[in-house]
Amino acid sequence: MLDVSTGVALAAVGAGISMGASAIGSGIGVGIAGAAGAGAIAEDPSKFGTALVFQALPQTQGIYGFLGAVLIMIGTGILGGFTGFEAAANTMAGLVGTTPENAALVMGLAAVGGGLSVGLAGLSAIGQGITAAGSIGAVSKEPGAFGKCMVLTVMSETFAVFGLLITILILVGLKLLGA
Amino acid sequence: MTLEGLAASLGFSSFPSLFTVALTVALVAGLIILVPILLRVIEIANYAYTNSRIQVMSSRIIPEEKLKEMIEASSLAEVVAALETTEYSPYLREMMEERSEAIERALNRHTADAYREVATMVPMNLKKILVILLRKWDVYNIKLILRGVYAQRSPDDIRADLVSVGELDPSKINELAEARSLEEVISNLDGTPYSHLVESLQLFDQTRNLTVIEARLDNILYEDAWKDATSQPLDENLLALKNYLATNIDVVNLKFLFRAKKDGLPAGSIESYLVRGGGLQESLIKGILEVDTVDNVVAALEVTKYYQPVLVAVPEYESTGSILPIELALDGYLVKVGKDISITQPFGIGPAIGYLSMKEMEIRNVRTLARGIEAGLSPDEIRNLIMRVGT
Repeated sequence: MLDVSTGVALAAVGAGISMGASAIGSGIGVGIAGAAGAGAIAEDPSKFGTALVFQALPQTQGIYGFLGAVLIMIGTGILGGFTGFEAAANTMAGLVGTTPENAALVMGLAAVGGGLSVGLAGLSAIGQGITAAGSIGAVSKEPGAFGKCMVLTVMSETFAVFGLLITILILVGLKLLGA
Repeated sequence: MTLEGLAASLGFSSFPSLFTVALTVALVAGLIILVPILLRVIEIANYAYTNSRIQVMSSRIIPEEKLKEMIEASSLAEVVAALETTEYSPYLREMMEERSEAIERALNRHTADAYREVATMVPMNLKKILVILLRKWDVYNIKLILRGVYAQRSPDDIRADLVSVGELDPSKINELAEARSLEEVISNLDGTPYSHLVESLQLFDQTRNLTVIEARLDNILYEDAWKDATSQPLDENLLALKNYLATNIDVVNLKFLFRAKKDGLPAGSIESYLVRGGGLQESLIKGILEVDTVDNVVAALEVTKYYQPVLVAVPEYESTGSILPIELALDGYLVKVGKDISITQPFGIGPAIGYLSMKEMEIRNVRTLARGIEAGLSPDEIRNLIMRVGT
């Protein structure tokens, strides 16, 4: 049996960072937007719809983090345990012409890189939550500002999308996905 | 070079140990960067609920279009009907008669409730700052009591007009309303920030003019507030309050100076009524004290932010000869500053300052138009008395 434990451990860390960091971002962002939503609803329960739409926006980073983690786990084969990872390492070693041990290490580091990308980009949900909170107040005061506030709030999403995109490119580029 | 080779060249036994050290360093560096950011985020989160609520409350302030319709009303009954669709509605239902005083009482009761709500909902660190702003209502109440006692109104009548939202305890306000002489009111203020009023009693005895006591009350209010706002280390909220208070003090002083110059009062008799503090330089105020006419006061303001708002009101002053358009322009400018603070500082004291200043303008306008309609003024005459957000 190959010594692939380091690679497996790194792949698990990568998947963990992807989900964990983006969950922190989304949790805080949704929390801030939710507090603003509760304030608006306390004064006017008809503001629930507006509050819900803006509160939902910072949740997407959590979804990206989840998606990134699943892709890392599929790409590195750790969903199939050690055997799955070992098989993926062997395949990769054959494709790039290196030893399976080195391939396992590279796969693990690629997973950490991919996890950091989508996970840290998920922290943009905090900023999005702050904008969403401000927008809930602004739209409550001036309902006509809904569209403009929505555009401003969605801006932070760009960086989360870039983060997920880089994760996918790392996995595809290293032939962990789609090979 | 292999990863193991890289680790060995850096003095590590294996790559995993190099990776562990690198990860630990990255985590520590990340925490050093993230902790201050997270602290700021937590601070913002504290304001999210309050400020969103205040924004909703602000959205209920009577819009200008509705105010225009109300100005056209031919009777107080029409004004009451127009107010039925606003948040004053529950308070108006308790009105026993359609008189401007009854409308004012409904406005005051609503104001007291709204302000109390704002004071309750703001985070702890803002309560102290808000109290400085709400002291204005203590002074409003004391002035009402002084006028009521002077006019020999009954304690119940006086109490009906009071707005108990300031710093003074409601029981203290009630006690003041029970007084039967001005001396008694002022002696009952012992132990409060307004105990210095006793110094103005002598001047009142000479002039029999309540304005001297009321002016002293304003001086105490603004000078104490200015001291409170500037004596502590300035954080963002205190800075916003200081900016608002500075404009407030300047507006109070400028209104007084314009009126004094219009009435031709000598510099010596004006100076003691001016509030110390604010944003205008002492040398500028001294310069204004020395000029003779309203036009010269306007010219002296050229280097200040008050020049443009005042300049807009000058043609109306020149055509009517009344200082009121200039006073309204200055008051409108103060509301604009409050509104601007609410925009530039959405997570902090901003929305509360914006709401309180807009609400004050609303109450003042509804009161003015109710009194105007009751007095039989034409819509055009009332329109000239209405305050607008400055430019």
